[in-house]
Amino acid sequence: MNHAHNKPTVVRLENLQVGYGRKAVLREISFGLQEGRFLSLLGPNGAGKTTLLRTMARLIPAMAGNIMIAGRDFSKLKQSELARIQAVVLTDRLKPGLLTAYEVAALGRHPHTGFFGKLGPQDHQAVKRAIEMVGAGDLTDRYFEQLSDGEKQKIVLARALAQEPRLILLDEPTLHLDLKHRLETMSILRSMCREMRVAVIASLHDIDIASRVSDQVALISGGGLAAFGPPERILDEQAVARLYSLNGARYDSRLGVIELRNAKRRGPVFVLPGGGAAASTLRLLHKRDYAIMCGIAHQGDIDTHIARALDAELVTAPPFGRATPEALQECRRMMQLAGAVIDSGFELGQANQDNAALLAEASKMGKAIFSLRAPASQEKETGAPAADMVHCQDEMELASRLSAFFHKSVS
Amino acid sequence: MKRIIVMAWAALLICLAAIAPAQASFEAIGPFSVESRDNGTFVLTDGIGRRIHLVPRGQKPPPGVEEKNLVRIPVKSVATDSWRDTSLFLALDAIDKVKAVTGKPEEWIIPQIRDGLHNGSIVSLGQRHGMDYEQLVKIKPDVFFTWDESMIPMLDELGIATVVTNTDLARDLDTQIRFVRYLAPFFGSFKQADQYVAKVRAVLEDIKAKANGVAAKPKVIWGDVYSKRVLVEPGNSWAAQIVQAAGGNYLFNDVAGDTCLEIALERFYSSGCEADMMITYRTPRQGMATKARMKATNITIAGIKPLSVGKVFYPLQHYSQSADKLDEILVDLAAMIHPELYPGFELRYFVEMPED
Amino acid sequence: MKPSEARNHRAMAVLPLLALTMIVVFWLSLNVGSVNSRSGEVWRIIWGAAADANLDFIVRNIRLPRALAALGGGAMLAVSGLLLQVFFRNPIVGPFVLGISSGATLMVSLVMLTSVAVGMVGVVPYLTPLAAFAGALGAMSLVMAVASRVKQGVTLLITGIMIGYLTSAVTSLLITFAEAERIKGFNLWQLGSFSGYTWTELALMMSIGSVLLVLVYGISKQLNAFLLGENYAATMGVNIRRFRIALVFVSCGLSALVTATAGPVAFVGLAVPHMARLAMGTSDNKLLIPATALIGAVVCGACDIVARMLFAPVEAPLSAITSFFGAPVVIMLLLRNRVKQ
Repeated sequence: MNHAHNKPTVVRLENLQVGYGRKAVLREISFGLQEGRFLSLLGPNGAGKTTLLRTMARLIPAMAGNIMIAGRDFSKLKQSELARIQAVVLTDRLKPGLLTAYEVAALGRHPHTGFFGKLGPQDHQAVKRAIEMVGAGDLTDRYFEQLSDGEKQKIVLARALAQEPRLILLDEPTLHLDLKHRLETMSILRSMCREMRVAVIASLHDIDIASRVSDQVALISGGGLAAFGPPERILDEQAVARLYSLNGARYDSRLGVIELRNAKRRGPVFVLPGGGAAASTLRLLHKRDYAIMCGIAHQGDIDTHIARALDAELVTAPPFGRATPEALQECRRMMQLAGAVIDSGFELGQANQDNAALLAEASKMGKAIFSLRAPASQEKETGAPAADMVHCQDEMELASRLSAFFHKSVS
Repeated sequence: MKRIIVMAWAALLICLAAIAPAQASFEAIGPFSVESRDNGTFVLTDGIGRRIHLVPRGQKPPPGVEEKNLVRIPVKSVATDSWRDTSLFLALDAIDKVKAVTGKPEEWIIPQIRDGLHNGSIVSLGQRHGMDYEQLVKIKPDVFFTWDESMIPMLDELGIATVVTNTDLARDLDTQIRFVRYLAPFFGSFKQADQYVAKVRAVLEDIKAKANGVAAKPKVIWGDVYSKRVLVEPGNSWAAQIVQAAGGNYLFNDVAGDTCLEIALERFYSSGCEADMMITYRTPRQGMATKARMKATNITIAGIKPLSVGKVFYPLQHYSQSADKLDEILVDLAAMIHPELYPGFELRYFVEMPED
Repeated sequence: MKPSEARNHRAMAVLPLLALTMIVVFWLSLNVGSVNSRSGEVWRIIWGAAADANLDFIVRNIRLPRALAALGGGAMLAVSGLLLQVFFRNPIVGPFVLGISSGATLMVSLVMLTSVAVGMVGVVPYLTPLAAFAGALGAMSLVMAVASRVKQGVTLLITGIMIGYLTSAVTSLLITFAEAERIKGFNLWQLGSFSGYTWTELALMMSIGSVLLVLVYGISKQLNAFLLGENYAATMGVNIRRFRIALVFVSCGLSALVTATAGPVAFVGLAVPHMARLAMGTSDNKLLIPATALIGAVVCGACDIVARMLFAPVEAPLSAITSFFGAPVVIMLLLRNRVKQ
């Protein structure tokens, strides 16, 4: 039926309407997911991600529409049949009492075992495989309730995996986890998709992580499916801003990060970037509330993306190319406005000649210049006299000197 | 625990009485006690160890005595929920002081109370467990006699002096006989009380004398048979003592307690197999009309002797309101145990349970 | 060695030990009583050799049924408690939380405290147990009707508690208007006891009880899934509604059988499952069910011996003994658990 290169669809939602009682939370949800694919549900709190997942888990009835799972009508499946196709990971805290990690994972065999639930050799194999898969081989003998949150989550995933499902639904699988375990969890889920051909649907609150691991994302807001597709296509700045009604933050789709807006209470400062040298300087200045202007930044350069995400005024040049005269003129205007000019210590190459020239001009204009370059190589590299500049060891020193400078100039 | 406290009090009071001036007198009646002082006041200890001061009308109460522990004597109006106390008021010629009682008129055997409830001269306070406090406040009796100590806080609040006469604590025969003396100071009926005690004691002596001449001691058990379980009168109860005094052999003398107690079924069975007769509080009013019914209620002990060849007696309804006729009750019991000593005697308070 | 194997090894050691203890308790139970007996005599009586007729009757018709009832009743109450504790995921739930004993008490109070059934006393055999059983079944069917409708287990729990309150309210009303003489017998029933079982009652309780205990094993798989909570159980393929009805039927059935014949016996159903978990070191219900049944039997049998020997020949109230013994155990275990977490 399916072409060899065309992966079979595991689950398809058709005009699904979900909600509690008679109150619809989401309407007209339609999408499909193929095996081995990772789908993230994104959306603000209360948008209905959990409601959708609970409906798909059959914990609450669908209000309208239909779900086809593994080619079968969801509503006609018995609970036990569904459990052989689909495993669910909820946010419910598990308190299984005196069960070991192994026994908790083994509970996942429930839909596959017989009347008394006795585990056969095959079942034990599946459980062991699942535990190995999540890298929890050293936890098996310990009581589940004595594990750390991160270790527990691994076992919870192993339990879902032991169910040998074709689809795993996860509600906020990284909730309550620290960064390390968050990344671990996501990488386990990723390998489930890749290695076990399991389709995964997870609601996530971390757009950053979602954009990295997902094959597909579903944006859920405004009582329905706002967008569906690969994150590369769906997650642009406007979509994310709409989704979360972002007001004090910007999203950069290439970096996949959200940056907060600042109030631009200080400055402005003019930064000369290049090849990522300005990345942390830009972030720090942004955090310290400076209005930032950024001189010739090459497209595709990390500095460019960061500056844009940080809402800096930006003059760009083509990748590895020279700036146009108009662009240089714009930079001069900015330098005039700026209270200080910052040399990020960019590597000097063919393409960065423009920035070196601008620095020299700034020096001539008598601008206060703060540099992250070593004083010894300053003149040799940029042609601007080191004596007129404030040289800083690192970004922190730069920030404090800059702060002192602006404080003085104001008073 | 409470019993221990009460006894400690009693012991303390006895010691105090011993060193008190000669004019004052002290009488302990079980856990109850009466201390008469030379100025005409009385200090009583009630069933839960509270000290009640009885002060003649017009006389200043001793300092520090709270109103709720103070009763003006002689009392003119009495309220009570106790059948036993009410029947003793008959013996004290004080039945006309009763102004309010609990229970329906048909539950009362004493004609004065039954008539009073009917014609309204005595107020009904409602049910035993659901007292109508409003009625009680309206009447405001000089004193309230109760067996239920749980009512004390409420009655204290209402400012009604209360005496707990829980007869659970007056279980031995001598206390039963002398209990009337505890009630006497309220009415000044000392003469009547003395007459009552003398009469009952005389009857008791007579019973003992009669029984002394008989060698055979019929074996007696006194208890209640319920489904699967049995309660018996303990050996330190007045019931057991009168059985002994009347020349019977009470088989549960080794059981001790304040009230009827549950004992092991096997013990009841093995004693029951020896017993010649059984006395029970279970009556036809509770469905226990015949021996056959009693056997069916608790099949396991159906084989005991009183239920087959022996006799079972139960009290008639007026028994529990006849404390004023304790002498007659004692004679009834004596006649049940040794009928040959009382030829032609007709039981007045007990009746033999039929086979079926 | 796999952890599950270690667990099974422990079970293989603990379960036979418990069974042995139960046999010891059973033998003690036949030998101690307020009527003196030598164990040799008791042994001969058991095997049918005639001895003193009186003792023969006592051992065969009073002690033997009582011992069996205490062991069986204890096992049934404890398993009933275990089921409800797992189902409601609540460690302080006992077999009577769904109003079973309150329902039984209500019917018994109707029979014992009012004149409704005066004509039946001593005419209808087993009047009190029948009334208690009717009351327990009434409460049970009410709870089951609710169980088939509600979505969440906790709603069922609250309903059960409310049924308990309602029936208790009626009972206390009946007590208010009852004669003192009648209350005596009712109080006696409320205290619960394994005294006075007839062979008929015992046979009935044991036969239905063992059918129910087998059914319990039949839902042990789903019960294990419930260790992760109702939602997880559902996603693992448990038909929640059907399971809930089965569980209520079995657990209430077990406690109803015991309550009808012995009256409400406190704390065994609450404390014993905790002891079983400690003894077995697991929450795996397939191992817990037999352990709970055995410990329930041992505890109830031992408490029954204490109840009849403590103030012999006076019977101490069984529920007082079980509570005196059970309450500290529960407190201790819950504290331990708290510390461990």
